[in-house]
Amino acid sequence: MTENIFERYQKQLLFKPIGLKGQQKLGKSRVGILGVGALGSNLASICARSGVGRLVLVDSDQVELSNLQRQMLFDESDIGCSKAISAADKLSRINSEISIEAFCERLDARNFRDLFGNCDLLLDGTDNFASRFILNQQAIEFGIPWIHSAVTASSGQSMFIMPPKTACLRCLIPDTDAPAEFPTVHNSGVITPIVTIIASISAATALRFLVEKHIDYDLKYYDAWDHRFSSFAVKRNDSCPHCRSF
Amino acid sequence: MKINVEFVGAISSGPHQKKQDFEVNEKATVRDFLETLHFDKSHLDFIQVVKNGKRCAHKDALKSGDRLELMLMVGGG
Repeated sequence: MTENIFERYQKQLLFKPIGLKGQQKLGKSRVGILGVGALGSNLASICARSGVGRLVLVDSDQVELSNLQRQMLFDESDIGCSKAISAADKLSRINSEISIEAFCERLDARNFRDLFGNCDLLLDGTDNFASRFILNQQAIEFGIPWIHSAVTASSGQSMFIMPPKTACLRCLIPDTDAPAEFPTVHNSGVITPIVTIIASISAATALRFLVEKHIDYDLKYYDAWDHRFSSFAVKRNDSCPHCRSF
Repeated sequence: MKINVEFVGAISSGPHQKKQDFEVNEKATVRDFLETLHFDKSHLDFIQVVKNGKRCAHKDALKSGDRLELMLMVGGG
């Protein structure tokens, strides 16, 4: 580690559960982030600032004015530009000592291996369950742990997923697709604080996993309007068709 | 029999108070109870239920005095 790194991560190095060894583990880690919108840009920012050595950003969308309320990496000059590329540009100015790859693509079963096959951990920054179910299935098949995050209105949830040790997303939600009128930010809105809170919860889970291989078995649910927090253990569903073979 | 129900977060908007007692039939399951509420039927699979402090399955039976927390898994990002 260079002196510059000791200075950059000074306060994080003082945090004993991370320390120098943990910082080195973060530096050697490769984390993929699917979706670089509200949750994803916050997740990416925390990972980059914390010194996660390699980031893979995937998002096929462009920045819009309506994104700026909650998508922390972007400003007015980014409107119309690729989210993945704009985010990578901002992150490289925050931390020039990490590697960042940006892909303007939509995830499917065919490109998962190329995008995320070498990652140690994946982070969910998507805005719909259809993408999450693809991520869930592919992550199970490739044996890559991931952290589910979602927000709508003033509520959100975070959950670490690593079958066979934990439940998968389909253990929680049986084989049904999200209905068209399901509450999302597009029809129910979202307030900025819940985005940063849920991203922070998921990012803390990510850092602890990368440093300690700690596995978290609880789904965490928070409502930022009522300041109501609930955390409860989720057991695997033995009849889950997606992860029961593991 | 009577149960106590808390509607947490995104699920709390609706005709009910955030915490409310409900009368349910003997032998009713969690799912039976959920189907009596105002929710769109297509959303029911996305409702997580914590019963007396532990997550439970929708097929689980209810008993008098149970305390439920209902949370709708949200989908935005």
